[in-house]
Amino acid sequence: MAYVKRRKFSRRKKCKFCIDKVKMIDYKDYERLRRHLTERGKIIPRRITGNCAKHQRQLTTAIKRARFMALLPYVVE
Amino acid sequence: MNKGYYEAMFIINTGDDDESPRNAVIDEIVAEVKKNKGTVLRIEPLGKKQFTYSIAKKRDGYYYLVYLDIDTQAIHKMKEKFKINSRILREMFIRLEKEPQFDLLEERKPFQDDNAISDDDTLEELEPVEDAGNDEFEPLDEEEELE
Ligand SMILES: [Zn+2]
Repeated sequence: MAYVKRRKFSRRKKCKFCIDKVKMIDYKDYERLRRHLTERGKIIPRRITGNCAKHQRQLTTAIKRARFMALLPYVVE
Repeated sequence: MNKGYYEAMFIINTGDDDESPRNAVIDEIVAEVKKNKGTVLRIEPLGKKQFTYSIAKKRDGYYYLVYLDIDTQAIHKMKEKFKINSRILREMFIRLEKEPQFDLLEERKPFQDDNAISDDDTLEELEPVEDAGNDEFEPLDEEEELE
């Protein structure tokens, strides 16, 4: 009996921070962090960017610190 | 005693660009660290930068990194002190996993001002939520803000 092979989902993007071997995402690097915000200043979820859970967690922390220090905006209404 | 290495960031605005009142604030910070039996390992000025939102009606300030070796309990005490200093607009302490290696940090460039807001009309008083400053002690849970 023949089975129809289900195509594996290959759309999954790799985590850019893993590719760059980033050990710790730095809140002071706000230029880089800004690329992970939407125009309104929200954090882009990892299902869109392909970030791994570990780096997304670091990214969220770094963005919150950068926002607190007025290096990044809070969500723009 | 639970000593640890910390990276602190301060935003100082003394109302003008003169260096001496700013240095006086830095001296106050250093004195406070010493009073709490801590050691200042390094002070790194990052320069003047415009804010992405106004803080205490100010649109810019001078950023400093201060590396410390200090007791964790003392951080809380110092923060209370710094909060009532009107020339310190922000202070944030981040615990480092190990002793900072400064020779590796030597290359850091001062902050650039290219992303700053400039138009008066776009300035909004956006104070962070009550405990935003406590983030630095604990890793935050992952969150997805966008639906
Ligand atoms: Zn990753």
